[in-house]
Amino acid sequence: MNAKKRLHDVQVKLVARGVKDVKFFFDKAKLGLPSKALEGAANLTEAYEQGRFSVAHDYVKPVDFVKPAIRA
Amino acid sequence: MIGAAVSRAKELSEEYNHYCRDNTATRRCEKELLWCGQCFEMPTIRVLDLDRDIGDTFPSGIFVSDGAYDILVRQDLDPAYRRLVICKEIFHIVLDSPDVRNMDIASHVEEVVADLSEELPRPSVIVEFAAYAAAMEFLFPHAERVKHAALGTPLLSLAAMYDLPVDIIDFYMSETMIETLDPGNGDA
Repeated sequence: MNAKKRLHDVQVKLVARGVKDVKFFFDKAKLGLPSKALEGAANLTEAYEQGRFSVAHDYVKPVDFVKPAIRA
Repeated sequence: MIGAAVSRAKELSEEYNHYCRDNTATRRCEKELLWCGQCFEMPTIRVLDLDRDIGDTFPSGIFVSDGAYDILVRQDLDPAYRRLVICKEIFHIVLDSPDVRNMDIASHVEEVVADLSEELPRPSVIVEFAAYAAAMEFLFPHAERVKHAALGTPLLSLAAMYDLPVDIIDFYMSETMIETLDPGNGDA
């Protein structure tokens, strides 16, 4: 299945789940060509839709930061 | 939009400087920016590692839902790139509004990677570059770029000082980018 079709299929599922926007950071050495970028975007969005990730716990709380009060 | 993004980055920098204990270091911490963002901007931000094999051809990215943001980063990214990517995605959150969204993912990707488009890019494309510029303003402020350009500081030294990829330093230290992002430039 080509990347555009894969993206369209996964996009429908993401919209149904309430996803409003997707933005990307491309490694231009690997994904600089439109065809490669589409393939990469399809891989990422499918992985996200399928829950193929883990929370990066090292980002839960920084160590050198004084937490400010949360604004109302 | 890019000028407004850079201004917002400066505001967030002030909050960072106020609350971060190590606020004089040239290397700024994305974890603390994330904490700033969560405290001041939006309630839920998750940083997620792609931890299963999906091949090596995928970008990093951010998925936006109502009030919740998931930043996905490649687990195998070079640490300096990983920090830059997370900062860039945090600024997507800062700049998020319905006007800059585009859920036609394939069209968005094609528009972002098309370098030679003669048409004025859509806000959903411009914001990609605005978030990048804002992240760089936070990690390596324009005023410091100008200072080091005048001093002739080697790019490798700057990459080490600011813990940024040298190719990104090279790009943002170019005359074109320094001029484009000059706060006095109306186009910035």
